[in-house]
Amino acid sequence: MSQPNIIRARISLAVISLLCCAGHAFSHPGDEHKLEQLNAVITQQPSLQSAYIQRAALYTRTGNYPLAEKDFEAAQTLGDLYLVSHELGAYYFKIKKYVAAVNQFTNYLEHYPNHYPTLEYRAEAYREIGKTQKSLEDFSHFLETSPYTNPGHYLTVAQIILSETDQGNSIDDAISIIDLGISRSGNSPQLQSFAVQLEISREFFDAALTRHESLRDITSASPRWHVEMAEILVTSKQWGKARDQLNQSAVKLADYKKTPAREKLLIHIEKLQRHISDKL
Amino acid sequence: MLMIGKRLIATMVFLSIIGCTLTAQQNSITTFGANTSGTTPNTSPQKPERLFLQQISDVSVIIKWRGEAMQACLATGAGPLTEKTTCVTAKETTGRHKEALFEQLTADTAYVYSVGEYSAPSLRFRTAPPTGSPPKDGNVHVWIIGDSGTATEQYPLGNYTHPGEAKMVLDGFLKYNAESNPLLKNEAVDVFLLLGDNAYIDGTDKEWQGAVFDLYTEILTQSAVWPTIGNHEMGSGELNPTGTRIVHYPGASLTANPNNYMSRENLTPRRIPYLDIFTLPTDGNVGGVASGTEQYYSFDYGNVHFVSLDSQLSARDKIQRDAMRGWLIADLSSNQLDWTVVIFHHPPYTKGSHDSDEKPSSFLGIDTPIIDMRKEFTPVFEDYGVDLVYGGHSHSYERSYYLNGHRGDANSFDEKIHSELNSDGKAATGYGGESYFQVSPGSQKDDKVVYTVAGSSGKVSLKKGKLDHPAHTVQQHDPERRRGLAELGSVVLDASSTELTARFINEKGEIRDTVVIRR
Ligand SMILES: [Fe+2]
Repeated sequence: MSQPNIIRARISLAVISLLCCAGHAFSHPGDEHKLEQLNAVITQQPSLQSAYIQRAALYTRTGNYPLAEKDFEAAQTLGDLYLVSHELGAYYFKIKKYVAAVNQFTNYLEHYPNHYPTLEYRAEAYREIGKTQKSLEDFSHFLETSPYTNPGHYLTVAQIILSETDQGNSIDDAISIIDLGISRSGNSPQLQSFAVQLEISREFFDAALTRHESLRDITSASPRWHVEMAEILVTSKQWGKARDQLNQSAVKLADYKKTPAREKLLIHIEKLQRHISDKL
Repeated sequence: MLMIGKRLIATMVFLSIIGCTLTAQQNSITTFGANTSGTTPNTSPQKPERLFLQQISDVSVIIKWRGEAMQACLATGAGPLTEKTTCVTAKETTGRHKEALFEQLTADTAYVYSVGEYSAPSLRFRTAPPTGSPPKDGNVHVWIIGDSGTATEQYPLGNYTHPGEAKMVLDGFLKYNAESNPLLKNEAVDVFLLLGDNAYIDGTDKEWQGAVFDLYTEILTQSAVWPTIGNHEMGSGELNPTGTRIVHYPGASLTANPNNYMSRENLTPRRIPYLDIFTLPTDGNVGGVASGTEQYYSFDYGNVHFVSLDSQLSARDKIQRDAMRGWLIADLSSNQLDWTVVIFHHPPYTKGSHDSDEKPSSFLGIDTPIIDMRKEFTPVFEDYGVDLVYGGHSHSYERSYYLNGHRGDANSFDEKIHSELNSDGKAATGYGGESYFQVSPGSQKDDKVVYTVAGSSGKVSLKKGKLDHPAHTVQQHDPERRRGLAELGSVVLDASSTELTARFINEKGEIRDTVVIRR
């Protein structure tokens, strides 16, 4: 399997694993209670569109697809079509009719362009039908509008960009997603170190150094931070500055509480120092 | 991973949720005499529906509540608010909460406070000592509860299944603290840790109210509470066990996305209530390295570094799990404090109501994090100076030997390879003459960790579990001498500059297990 396909398969598998296979019988009184409530509402107000949408959504969630379809059809006759579109798109997504799902989500987003759950849904539907660029546009919009995201969301999208789009602009695009994450959730080692590696991979060493510098205070300039700085400097052949960083790290290590990781770090420092001595 | 495919949000409900989540306003601070409360705007004499402290550091505290009051006031000292008082106008935050952030406080100092016009003798706390130093009383006093949320458990048939049991554990702790605490009678809790599954059955806001805020009311007004996400915090999972019909099962959510929470009474996917309730440090401002997320974070309290990991959401996705692990390494690499304690819900070693030997695919994959946390995170704990790891999930108490390098199933455990040994060449027990040392005498390295399952703070159950994981110590107080205790209880952890002592206290207030690490 190619790299993009591996990542794609991994992501899809995690989704499929939500819905698979076991012999346990689980009770679910919540569903039945909700259904009873909706049935009562529809009996009292047989032309209330929102009740049909909600009941269709509930049937979708519980896998009663024929009943869901019937309610969606009824809802479409009782009011504006676009009001049905989000849930109907979700229904199509669930039964794997991704093109139909995209059409419904698009209809909904024309009226509610920042509705982030629909954006995320459509991003996934686009991925399913191989429209990666469209998918990434929606993912980016989703990340900008969702009230809650975490660093992992941005890393995931950056990985998709790197594995599924044209090599030409993919690093630029991945870095802008990471920077969006930093602007929304604050600077953190998960995001910034990933961006550092991308800068190094395209030999933008100054950018890599600036990015790593931004983690100085966040990591209290730990011995490990100094070594990581030295590694960027070694890669960019700035031997003298690299040696300074290693020396600072070694001095700090002598003061820090000993751990196996710090002992390994010291060995790594000595190795890098020998490497630099050979170069100088 | 990004949520894929389960966004079935009813539009109107969704819009109303969004409408009330974006109403933050800035704090404003005034300083005046407390007796001028008549001039205080927007106050209410009512006791807040919930009131708790967040992120107590050496210089700051967040007073958080739900209720009419629009400001909180605070003064140094032990008595009523008669000294010079500082008041802060609250900002409104998600979940109809109010938060007042007080900064520039003095370390290791007693404060009293009020919320609106509500004041009570119980509204007091102590700031943390300066980072790196133990408190003036010499000891960081930590109370830890896991799977305590049974005060609201009415599952499956609607009747309370464990009435009063969480309260019994609380009373047992209070009795121990008042009568038996060998260090200081009635010592205030400095740090209150929740190990997950603290509000059964679905972690709804209402269940948090009944299982936590209405039960631990006084401790929550006097100590900062620091939680981690358990499987029940994520509500009910959407499962299709027969392939024909989707059902919703509490505690069985498999998503890595916190926006994909659903409860049995409301199947509309939405943000996990946990994140609306707690205000946790994402920027390292209470010590530790910025995590950029409230799902996992760290903080310092005096000479102890605490880390709360997310084994329920982040652990379920490879990219997010790697990100959390990378952050943990950066965090622990910066840490220089005397002791390090890590919490997360899914225990790496257990033979209680959950089994750490289950295959990843067993039981629908609900317990996969147990294996991933063991394989990918225990090496970090050992290499980066962690001393104690706490989890819950299994509803019993199990405490390990001083471990290194055990990544496989229980039957691959070899005490000679994986644990600290006593003079007889057997696994050392951790108490009496066999207490542990941070730098292991065996390896001459700080490379060992004690893992504890403390999931019986609300109920006891074993299912098929036999409490026989060989990495856990044989419990002297267990009538069958199993490697665990099928007893209600909680853990009290005390950290001085030279000694870390953890005790399991049962619901009667008796000490049932002790482990000591010295440095
Ligand atoms: Fe659990």
